[in-house]
Amino acid sequence: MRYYNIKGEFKALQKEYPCLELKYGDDFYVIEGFIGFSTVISDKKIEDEYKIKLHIPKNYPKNMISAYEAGGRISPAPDNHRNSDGTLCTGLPVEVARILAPNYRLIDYVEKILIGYLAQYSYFEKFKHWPFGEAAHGTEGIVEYYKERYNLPDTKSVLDFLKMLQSCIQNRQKGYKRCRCGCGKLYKNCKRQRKILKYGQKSYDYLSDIKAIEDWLKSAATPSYPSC
Amino acid sequence: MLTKENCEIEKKLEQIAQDIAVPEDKYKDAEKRYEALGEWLAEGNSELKEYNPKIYPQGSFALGSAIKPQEGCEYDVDLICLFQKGLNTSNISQKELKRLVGDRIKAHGTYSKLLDPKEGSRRCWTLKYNDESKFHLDILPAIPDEWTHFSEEKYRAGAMNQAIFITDKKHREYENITKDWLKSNPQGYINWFYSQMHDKMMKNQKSLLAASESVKEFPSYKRGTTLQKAIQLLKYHRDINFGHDEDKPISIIITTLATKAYNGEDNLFDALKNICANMQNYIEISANNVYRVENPVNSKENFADKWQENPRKREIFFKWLNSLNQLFKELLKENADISQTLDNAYGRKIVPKKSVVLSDTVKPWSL
Repeated sequence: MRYYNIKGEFKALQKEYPCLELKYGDDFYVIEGFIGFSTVISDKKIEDEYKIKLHIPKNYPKNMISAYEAGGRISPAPDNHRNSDGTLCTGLPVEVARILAPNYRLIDYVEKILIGYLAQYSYFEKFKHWPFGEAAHGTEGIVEYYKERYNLPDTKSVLDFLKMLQSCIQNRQKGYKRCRCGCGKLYKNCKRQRKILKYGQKSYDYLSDIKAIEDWLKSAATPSYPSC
Repeated sequence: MLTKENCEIEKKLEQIAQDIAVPEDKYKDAEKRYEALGEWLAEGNSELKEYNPKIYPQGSFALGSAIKPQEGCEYDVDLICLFQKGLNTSNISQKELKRLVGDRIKAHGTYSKLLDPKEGSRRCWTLKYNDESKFHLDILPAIPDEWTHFSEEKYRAGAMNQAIFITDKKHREYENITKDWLKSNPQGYINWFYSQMHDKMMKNQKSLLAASESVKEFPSYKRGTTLQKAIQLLKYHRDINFGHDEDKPISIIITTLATKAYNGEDNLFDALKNICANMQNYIEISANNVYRVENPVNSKENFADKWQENPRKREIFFKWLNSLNQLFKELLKENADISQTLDNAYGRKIVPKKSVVLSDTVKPWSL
């Protein structure tokens, strides 16, 4: 597992956001304090501050950061995109990976993901709608994202594509083995493999998305019987 | 009317008011919980069913002036459990009434675990929810007061019908069947508050539209009015600056005086400035130097009665009021740093706002 320099990352973050503190917990690092920002969304100036808390897993970025709004301002409601456990709905994991990869810097997480959400929430509070739309909750949102991104017609084709992507990623990890597509080259040199890999998010593990979609398809296919 | 300069103060005051106000969801959550409790007390096989108990809120949750608790503290929701029929001072003692409510609460597996202390407090039973809601529900058992004392010209119709008797462990007649009970009238006070607010807002609008014959009817506001926000800001200022002082001004005095001094202003800046300047005019001082903040629905009750035995409470009140009037003087100076002055007064950390460009935003999503 690659070493993540939490101290160095926090120092760089605190330089820009001085009202934050870092604490060391058992299972994760905790960053808490206040974040203030000034930005523009759809030509409207959005200036705000929030009291926040971040739980950073010790194996970050393998497991993602959980963000909380600690000032009691965002209450649990589906419209607010805040889960009942207090975590903020900061976006699809594959999108977050796309934005933060490859270095997953803390300052990038705060500015691109956290402030990205908070600024949208401030906009929503004022204008009563989310400025860039909302992704559907759960697996439906995941499928919608892939359909749009890869121009795929339905859930089955999304699943097939993701399985192919995941297979290429796993093949890449096989190192100096011969590719089985018939090109005669090593996996790392096969043009077909490389072309498919270009579509994917580097070092993103698609297995969890694949499983979620498979489960979703299964539950949709199972008929529900009326209770006797 | 707001001048251009005062707009900045108004905006900042609105921002602080928004930060400290209890969100609407919290009110609804509290409502769900006490309605559920009310059902347990009144329905099914409850032995209290025949007395027709009714639960209703009092205090800041009923007045819409509740503020977020300080760090580590909880939301205190004050409730009255009124037994509307069958019980009166001739057939039950305070102790027995308290026990009836306590026993029914303890008969519920979950509520019994939330009860703290188990033997009840001086006047109420308290349920302490240990989930993320941070609610403390204080339930005061009560019966109707058939011997109301009120000053005729000072109540609005309906106030006398809502007076109640409540229990108090320290009352001399706590264990006896007697007419001597502790009196209260929270519903009367709530009605007085809303009618004062409504009347003054209507009057203000009428004077603004002097030429117009039709004055629009105000919808019945429950929360978020200028007066409610002003009271929240006053209470929060008190908490920040005198929060740990046991002689700090009590909320009922602040609420009563602010409501009396309020003149229907439609913006926070004018409302607060005028309330702070005029609040003390509604404190009566008698010939023998007794300070009175009369309960508007019970002229026999003086909210400032403790100022007599403990003059420090009176001193702290005027010290607090003075600091507020000073604050407005500071804000109205030329070249005043509005943001900094208000942040200092309200103990807020000054958080710098970094300029950020959002180029590639992710849509909100959750599992």
